[in-house]
Amino acid sequence: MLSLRDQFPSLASGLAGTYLDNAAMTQIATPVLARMTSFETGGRANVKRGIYPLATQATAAFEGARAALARYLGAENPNEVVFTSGATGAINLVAHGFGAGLTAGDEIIIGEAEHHANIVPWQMLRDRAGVILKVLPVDDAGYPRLDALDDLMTARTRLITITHASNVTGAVTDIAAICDRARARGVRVLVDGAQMAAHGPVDVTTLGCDFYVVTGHKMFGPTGVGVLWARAEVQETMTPFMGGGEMIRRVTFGETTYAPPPHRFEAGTPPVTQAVGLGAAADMLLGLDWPEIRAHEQILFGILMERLAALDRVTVIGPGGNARRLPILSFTVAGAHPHDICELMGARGVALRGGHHCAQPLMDRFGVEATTRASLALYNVQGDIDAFTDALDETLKVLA
Amino acid sequence: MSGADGIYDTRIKELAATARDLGPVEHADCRHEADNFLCGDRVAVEVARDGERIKAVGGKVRGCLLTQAAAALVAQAAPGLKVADLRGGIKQAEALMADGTPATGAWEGLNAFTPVHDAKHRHDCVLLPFQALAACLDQTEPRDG
Repeated sequence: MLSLRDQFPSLASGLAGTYLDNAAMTQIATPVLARMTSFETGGRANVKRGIYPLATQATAAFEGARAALARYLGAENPNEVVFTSGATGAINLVAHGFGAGLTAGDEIIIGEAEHHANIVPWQMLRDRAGVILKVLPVDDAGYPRLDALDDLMTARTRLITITHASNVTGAVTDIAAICDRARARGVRVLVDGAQMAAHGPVDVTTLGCDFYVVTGHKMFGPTGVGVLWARAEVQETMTPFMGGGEMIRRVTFGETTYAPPPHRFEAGTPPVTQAVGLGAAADMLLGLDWPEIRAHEQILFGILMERLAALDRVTVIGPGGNARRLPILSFTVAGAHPHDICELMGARGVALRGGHHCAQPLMDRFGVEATTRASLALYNVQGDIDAFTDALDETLKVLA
Repeated sequence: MSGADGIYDTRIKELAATARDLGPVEHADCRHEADNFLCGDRVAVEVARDGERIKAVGGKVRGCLLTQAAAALVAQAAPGLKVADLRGGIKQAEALMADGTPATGAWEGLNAFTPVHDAKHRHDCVLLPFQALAACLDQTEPRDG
């Protein structure tokens, strides 16, 4: 029987080395590649309108992927799943489609720990429509300060947009608590689930949010595809972001009427092969024993924390050993810049990421210019942590 | 020892260590802040001139060891040079990164960065202070052509 790690060709071959950059991109799984290859070699056709057998099969594969994503996200209605180019594309879709219904003076609350992809589209909306942006601060551990939320919300608040888990600190947001407060005041909630989706199925129904976004390349699937899950009643209020392709119902030179959701939000030919691959990733992930995987990830993470804690010059940013976190760990080393650490670690076969992680406001919050980040996924093993420790030891000697 | 270790030789580390001495320049004629858009490193360069000659270069570095070392080199090499010589230094830094052409004259110290030529992904780290310097000089004296 193949181990989990064996299902990832780049890891099984050793070519990916000690791969600890999973928060940026996870490795792709064999079942994902197999389904994409099968589609490309035996089922390739454009989707939605074709009525010959190959096309109807392609549409079935595409819609099957939509259903798989709905299952992975805990959504009852697959039509609430919109395929996008990624999480960034999904947030931009909401900023345009939902944002079109906002007027000057309406307010949006943004988490302080957000990725730039969940900041910039709202700033662009602010510049287009005159909405007001407010920031929900994080505490010293990196968790959004829920105690500040009630004061930030006013009668003009329309949306709270927040990450489910920080790509810098790994801190997991109490989304259900935020949604409870928001719902009581008629405020919509968008959740950036880009990091969370690699660590087990999500349940948007339980969370109570209105939008949830994920991306393929961070959940063992292909690049170039992601998903916006949007509650059906909210989808109905949104205008399309882009026009053309199968997003229409009828077009004349005088006017155009639109297809029902989710199709009205999928202009042009969608990334069919990638969507099929992402569906395979969701199916694969749904079949895993997540309590066991999470326990494994936490054990490895604990070892990683212990090893770093033993080093004098290291400061870990974020929630430390708090259980409400993902195995994403950012740290600084006094006198050693993250880019230099990553360069030397990379040369020793250890893939890390150094920099601001597209979260410059959070860097400012913690008073650092950059961090070094090690992020674990389900296929990492203790040997990876050992390799990390050995390489870090050598790296710090070189930089001394 | 890995190939990448060569980037971090003693001369580079010594130069970088002096970057902490950089600071504001009194009566600066120009100031420019440059960001490396890929990594977020940031260099602020300030230049004070005495006619055609450079009196002092200072500023602030928020970046990796290579960026720190390059900024320190600029600050050390520039005083006393003519503006044209500074622009020549920028060209020499670009040439060293692009094709390994050794630097000469007042900018010979640039050759400490020769191992970086083989690490294309780090060229911008070395060039960031020079880009800031060029933009700073452009404020006071636009380039010909």
